[in-house]
Amino acid sequence: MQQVVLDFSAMGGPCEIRLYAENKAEGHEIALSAKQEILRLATKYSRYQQDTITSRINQLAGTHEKFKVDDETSALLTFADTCFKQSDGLFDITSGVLRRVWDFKKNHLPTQQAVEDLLPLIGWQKIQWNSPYIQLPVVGMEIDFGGFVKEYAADAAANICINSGIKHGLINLAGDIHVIGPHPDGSGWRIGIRHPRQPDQAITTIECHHGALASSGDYERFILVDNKRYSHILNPRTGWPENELASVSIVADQCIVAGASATIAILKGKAGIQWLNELSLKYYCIDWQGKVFNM
Amino acid sequence: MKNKTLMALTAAALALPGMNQKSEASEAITDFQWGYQLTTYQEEDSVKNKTLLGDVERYDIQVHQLQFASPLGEQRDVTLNVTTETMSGASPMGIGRDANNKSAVIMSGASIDESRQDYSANLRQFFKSSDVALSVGYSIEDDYQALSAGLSGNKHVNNDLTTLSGGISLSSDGITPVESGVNDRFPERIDDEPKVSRTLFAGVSQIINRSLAVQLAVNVTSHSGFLSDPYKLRDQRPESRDQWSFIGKIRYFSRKLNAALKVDARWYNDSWGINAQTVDLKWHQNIGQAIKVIPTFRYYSQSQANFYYSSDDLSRTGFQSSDYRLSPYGAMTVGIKWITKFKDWSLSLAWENYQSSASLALKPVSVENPALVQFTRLSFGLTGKF
Repeated sequence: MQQVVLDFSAMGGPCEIRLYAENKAEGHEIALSAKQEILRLATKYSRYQQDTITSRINQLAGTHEKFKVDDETSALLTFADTCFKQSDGLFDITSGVLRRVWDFKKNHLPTQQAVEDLLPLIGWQKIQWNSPYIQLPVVGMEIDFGGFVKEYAADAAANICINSGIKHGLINLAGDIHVIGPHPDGSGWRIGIRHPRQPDQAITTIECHHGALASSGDYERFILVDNKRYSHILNPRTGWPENELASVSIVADQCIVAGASATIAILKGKAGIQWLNELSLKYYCIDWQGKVFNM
Repeated sequence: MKNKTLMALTAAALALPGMNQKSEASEAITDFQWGYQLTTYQEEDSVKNKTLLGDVERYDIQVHQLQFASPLGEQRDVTLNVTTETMSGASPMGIGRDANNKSAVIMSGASIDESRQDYSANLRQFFKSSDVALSVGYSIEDDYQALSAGLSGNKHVNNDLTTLSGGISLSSDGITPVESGVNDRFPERIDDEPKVSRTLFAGVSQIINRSLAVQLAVNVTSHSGFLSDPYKLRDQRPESRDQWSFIGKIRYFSRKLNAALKVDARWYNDSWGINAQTVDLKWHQNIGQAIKVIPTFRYYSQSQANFYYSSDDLSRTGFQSSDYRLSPYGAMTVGIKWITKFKDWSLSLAWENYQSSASLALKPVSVENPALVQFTRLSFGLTGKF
């Protein structure tokens, strides 16, 4: 069996497709179609490009016009709706407007007033979502698929490989990983979990045969002011980051479930550990003091 | 999965179109395919002390099956099957009583040599989230002809996680027993009698998650016409028979073990008073990419038909049969199948052993039918595509 590796850059990070196939040509062809799927989703749900579905929905905010979404977008919005309900409103795809005041490329904090001014634009419960129709009631409101579309892309790409007969391999989209199956000799993939304070080092490794692993943490994008770290994971109610948990990695059957659960755990702050224990998924979590919790 | 949150998140994730696992039969084939299978079926000899008259050697059957499948454009395919079956041996004609007043088989005197040819064609058309199939078949042997047609379809809903299936089929048969002429050995046999069967089935299958799928189905068949066995000494059955089956199937795939467990259960009853239960277990073990080993186990139990008698009585009138297939019994089948794939070729070998007896029935049986059959089936198959 031959290993095929395809490296590229998409969705704001390095991507890697590793497959074992009977022959290289066939494996390469399958890897390319998986890459196509990732690029398709990256383009479709980009928040930077004009005329994407995200920008078209957001442009209609405040008008009374309903926007009819396609099946895939509808399922993603329903997933977001489920996350919102299951997290008591913490996982909220309308909180992206906070980026207007939180600039993680510059090292300064927004004013409390600036944050508070944006809060009326946040709240998934304000959105009229009646599949397949969505309507954003307030001018300036935005939705954003960025919180889970990369994880979904890992699942969808893995699924293309599985449906093409691949049994061994993985999809790694900048740390959001879907393991198709173990190495041909049956051994698992050893996946390093980043140390949140030394992101180029692994704090531990998790061996994974099947399923997905996703991580969320304050090390990805943050602002460091007076030695205090302000993570990019913002609480939609306060507009400020939750800093209790520095990093959460979760193993689940689907990468999108692992990723959303990791984000919800961080947004829950201290209560996140208890929530993770109840979720009964395998996790590895480090709090802001460096203390490790896992199951 | 115990946690409600996890269940809700997983259900919402599985509804995403990118998560769909391609089901095996959801697309038209893309290559020309052919297959050949040879099956030999050997019934164990009738036990001497349970045989009153005739030859103890029961049926040996050899079946050659040839299949061709071809795409007809992107959304359509066609499959043609040709089967030829040769059988030789003797079969039970009736049940008498021996010197100790025990039930014993009366076998057909001489060995019978017969052959059967069967031709069928199946045309499938695929749409975005559904497919329909039309089938026609013709089967002919010395004393039996059957013409059949069927229409079935699948509709995938709920992001392809749910499949609704349904179908109808019709078979029109003619029974023309041998040696039935006025000057033949059995002038009392019928000459030419018709039989019609109609089947309706409906099912729903649901993918629960990547590892688990379940299916529920119901099947109703109604037969009318000549339903007796013309070769039995005394066999008089009603001219209609309605059958109902309820089928539950579970498919569990373990990625860790690279294996799938298939469990089928069936509850059956009919207007002749037979109730039957079947449990079928198959373990599909993949060994690497190329080899699959499938051990199987099946258990079956049925009650008797209302008009079943454990022995024949020439003075009896009304509906009656001593056919072992209408008797109360249970059966157990164990088997193993080996499939090796090499590039576009696939080779399969299978062995199966079937044992039936009254003691295997779920409910106690007072008199065991002495004609109950035991057999071994061996098959060899080769498929290829180009």
